[in-house]
Amino acid sequence: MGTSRWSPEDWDVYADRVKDTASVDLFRSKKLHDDLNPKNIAVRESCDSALNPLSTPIIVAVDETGSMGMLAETLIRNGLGILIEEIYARKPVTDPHVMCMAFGDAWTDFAPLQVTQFECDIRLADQLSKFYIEGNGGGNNFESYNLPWYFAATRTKCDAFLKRNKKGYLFTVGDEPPAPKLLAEHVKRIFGGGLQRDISTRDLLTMASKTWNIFHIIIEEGSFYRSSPEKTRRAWRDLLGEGAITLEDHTKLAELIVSILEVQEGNDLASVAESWQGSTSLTILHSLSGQQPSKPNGIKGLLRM
Amino acid sequence: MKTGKVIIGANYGDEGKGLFTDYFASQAPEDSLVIRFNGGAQAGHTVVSPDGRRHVFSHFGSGTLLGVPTFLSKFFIVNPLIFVKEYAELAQVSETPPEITIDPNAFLTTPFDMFINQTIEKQRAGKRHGSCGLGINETVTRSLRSPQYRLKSCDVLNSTGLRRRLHELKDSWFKDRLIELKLDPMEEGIQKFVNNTDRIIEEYIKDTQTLIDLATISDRIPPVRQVLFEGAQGLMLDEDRIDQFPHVTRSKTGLTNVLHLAPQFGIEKLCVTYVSRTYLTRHGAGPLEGESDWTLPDSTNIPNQFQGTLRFAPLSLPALEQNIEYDLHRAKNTELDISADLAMTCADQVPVPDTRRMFLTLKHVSFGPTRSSVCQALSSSMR
Repeated sequence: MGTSRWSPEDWDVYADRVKDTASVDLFRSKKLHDDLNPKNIAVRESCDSALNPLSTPIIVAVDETGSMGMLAETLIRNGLGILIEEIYARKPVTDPHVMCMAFGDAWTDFAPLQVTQFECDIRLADQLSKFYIEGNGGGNNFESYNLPWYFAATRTKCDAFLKRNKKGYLFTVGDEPPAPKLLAEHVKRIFGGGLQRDISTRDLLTMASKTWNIFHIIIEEGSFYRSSPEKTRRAWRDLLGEGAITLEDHTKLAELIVSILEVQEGNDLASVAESWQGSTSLTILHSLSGQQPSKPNGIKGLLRM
Repeated sequence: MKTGKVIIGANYGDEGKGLFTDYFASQAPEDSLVIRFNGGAQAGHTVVSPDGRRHVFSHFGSGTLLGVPTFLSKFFIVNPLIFVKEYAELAQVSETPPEITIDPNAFLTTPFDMFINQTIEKQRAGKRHGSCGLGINETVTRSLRSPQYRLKSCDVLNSTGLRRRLHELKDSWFKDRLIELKLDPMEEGIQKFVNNTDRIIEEYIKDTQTLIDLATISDRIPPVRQVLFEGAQGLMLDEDRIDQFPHVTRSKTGLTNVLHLAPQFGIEKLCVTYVSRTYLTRHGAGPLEGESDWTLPDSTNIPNQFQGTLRFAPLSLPALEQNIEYDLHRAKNTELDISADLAMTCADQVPVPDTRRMFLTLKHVSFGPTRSSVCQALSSSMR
């Protein structure tokens, strides 16, 4: 019995160790995980169940390219974990089913899109840990924010919409302007096919907006945004209107998304912002000052699609 | 009909469960799964592959060198710190990354459990229970005391929550438990540990994050043809063996857990192999009938601070038979189809005893440490 020894004296070493993970890293994923590869995914479903009778699908997709620097790693490794905890805890929508994505640049990246399942509990965190953060991206002044839209429009099946005509929520997070179009050849390489010809990002948005409320969160601390804030903001405003939201402090992403959901579900912005403590409250107010509560007749979303 | 093979140690552990799990796994490596159904990090199952690679398995199934995936059932006790250590060791000998799934309900060992275990075992001095100092008993005690103290493997998915729970445990459970065990909180070693707790918790959180990076937390088992239930410790260490108390382990080492798990995984038939060396060994304290002064080579069981050295005795066939009968008796009311046989290891060190009068058949014999030294014991010449 027993070879894995641990003595009382070992605790001193443990407490002081500078962790040597080199040998463990040998095995760690340096490539796209099969389960997250869009090529292997026919469809992702968000289904109603006895435990979740009124499911609401939520997709959060984070830009993992180099211009996001360490932010991408922080947002994906920690931010999304906190986010899903907040969503499950606060339940800004009924029975949230959360899916996370990491995406990059369809032109230059090896793994420009990675997709988890829809999950209704913290087990989603297990899948997040399998994201491969490539950190590449090209110097083409945009990233492929349209890949999550394409996935949402063509590869998801959600009871919320099918049974109750309720759209899901789709958030992309990043610091660069949107790509102008989605190329059929990229779709072939990333998804294994599905698009006859290239499609403009604007047309794709129209398509995805049929079943999803679409938002984009511009991370102001990203290196691209810091060098070209006006250009970035203008491009997103032009495309999404009030669905383009800036965020000055990336550590407040979870609170911002929960707040957007709450406002979209008809809560008053002032009281939503107030529900957070201290500076968070101000950050949220600052980000969402252009947002209004939804119309009472049940039309959700801010887009005129 | 889906069949499960069960490998159970018939004595005090160290029988050769690793060897036989590896042997059975090698019969269909592409289509097998090893399920660990008891114990935890304290297990040490040695596998030597025919090409000479060697690893002592504790969290991983003994089929790992063959690429066979592992499932840690809800009865397994997960220790993230040892898990990470073992994964790094495996990287040295394994060709491919081990595949492992952990049931979300498996209990989790904390640094507090390990530390308390080591401290009390140290205090017992000459009267040690034979513990490995890895906190198995403490983990179970804490987890069963109250749900508020219980941590499960799914809790590692929420690192913020886990950190909070650990700090709570430090102020509630750990403090109270020291008093309960009459340990002096002002004692130097304990003080040192307490002063370090914040950093120890942070390191532990880091290890749990590495763990979810490398393992999948899920209660769904991969679809395979052959399921191998790999037992840990041995029948004589079962927590229900009142006759051996307190030198027992805190888990069911026999069929009990397997009988519970099998139907959940759609298994209707179980073939149980009880493994014994051709002689008796015991690691650590506790009675050992007929103890002798033999010293046979054993590279796995290096003497350590908590368990001492390996002890030896001749094998008593009536006692062996009794252990197995007692275990099979648990299955008498089950609807599962159960068959059982016997395997003996270390036949190269001590000759195989005459098992002809036993109620179950000796089916396999091993003459060395690798699966290539296993042969079927069908003919009487073997006896």
